[in-house]
Amino acid sequence: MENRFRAAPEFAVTGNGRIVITARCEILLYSPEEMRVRCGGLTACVYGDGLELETLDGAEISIRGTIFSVEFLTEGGR
Amino acid sequence: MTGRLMNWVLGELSISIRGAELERFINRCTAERIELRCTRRTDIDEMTARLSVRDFRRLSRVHRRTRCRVHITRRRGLPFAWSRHRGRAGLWLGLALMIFTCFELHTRIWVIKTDMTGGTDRAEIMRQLESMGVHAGMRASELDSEALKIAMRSANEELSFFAANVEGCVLTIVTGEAVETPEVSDRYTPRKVVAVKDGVIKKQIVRRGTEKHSVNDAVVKGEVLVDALVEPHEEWGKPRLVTADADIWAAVKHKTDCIMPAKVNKRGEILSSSRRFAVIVGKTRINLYRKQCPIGENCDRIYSISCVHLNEYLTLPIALYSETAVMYSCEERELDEGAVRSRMLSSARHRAMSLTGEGSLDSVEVSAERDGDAFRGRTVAWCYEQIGEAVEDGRTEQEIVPEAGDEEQTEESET
Repeated sequence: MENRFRAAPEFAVTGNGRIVITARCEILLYSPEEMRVRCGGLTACVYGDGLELETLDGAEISIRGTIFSVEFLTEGGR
Repeated sequence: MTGRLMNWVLGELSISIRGAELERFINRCTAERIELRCTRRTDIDEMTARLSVRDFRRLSRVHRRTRCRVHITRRRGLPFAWSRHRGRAGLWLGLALMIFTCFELHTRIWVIKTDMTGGTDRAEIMRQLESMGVHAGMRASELDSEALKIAMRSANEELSFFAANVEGCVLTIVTGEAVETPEVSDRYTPRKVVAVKDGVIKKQIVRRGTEKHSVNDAVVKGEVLVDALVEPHEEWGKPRLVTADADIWAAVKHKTDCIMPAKVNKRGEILSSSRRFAVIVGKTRINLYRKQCPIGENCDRIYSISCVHLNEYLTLPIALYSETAVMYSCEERELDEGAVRSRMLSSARHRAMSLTGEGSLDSVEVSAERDGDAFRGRTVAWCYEQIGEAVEDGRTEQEIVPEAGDEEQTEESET
């Protein structure tokens, strides 16, 4: 019930060089080629080259580098 | 930009983190509200990041839990610079002196620019400003623009506008000259058109009034060309006075006598050239040379003053003065009659063109003859120009139209 009303994360992509995720996130995997970020029930996979964490705090995460693709892995088929 | 400056002021550390659970380390940092910046994974078990000094003090709890090792690779910011240079009294004294000097210089006016329109006497205005205490080097806060404006307007009646604008250390004086209100022509004031020059009438366009001359008539200065009195068209009508309005175009002769020297000095080859420099600090000039520049007839002096402008509004009171003196030789050369004639012709043309106004120049004749060491010449220029000018007619309606009672009395006396 609580999960239904949780605010969905916002993704802002600037060209293919920067992506800003506005949500409380947790880093699952961190490498220059792949970055996995869990934001509530959603897991985002960012693939690219030379990826680095520009900023990271409780409300926002911004990833910089050459972004090739972004995939979303959902939990429970939602 | 502000964020970077704040980071520098508060102090920033570059760290290297080595461990097996780097993702966990990052998540723990986020949970502890430790802000990591520019995080970069450099190896499978190593990454670099930047964080503030305050956050670094709280980092010990995190890296112990996550079994990571943290190394400081670089320190930067004001706290580190302060601890490094704390003992250097000369440096801090110089820095403080520089800040004080910059602040002190910035509060003063160093450049006075002027934007004066019309025939305002710039030198006189600047002299008055100097007497009122407005000069280069004064404090900008001491300048009361409103009081200055009132004082200058009361001292100079010919000024219609005065403004003193301070931008940085530049004071801009803007003045506007009062323009006399043109006299409004009264349409019903009787006016006649008279000749302002001697000439032969070539064309007349009379819009109001009675023309007194026909085309090809010669007129002299002051002669009435168009009269204000208009005779009645009908038998029972009365004569009336009008404001004469006409364009009178005439051929006007301009005669000029002139004398030109038969020998002139011509500039020869350059003998020597020298360059000197001086530095101007405020109102003081420091010469960077020993000898004075030669002053004479055969010497050109070219000088330039370059001010130090930091930006559009900030000009330092330092200027570089450069002076170039070029000495040249002179050769005396005798002019022949043809050259003199062509010079006279050219000057007569220019003079006639300046006198004609909106008219045109028809022809110029030049005669020159040698008289000792000079040439005496006479130039005659024929111009086609407007010679009519409207002036007030002294007569009134009562003077030209006799009253009805007077007419009857005269008839009775005749009978």
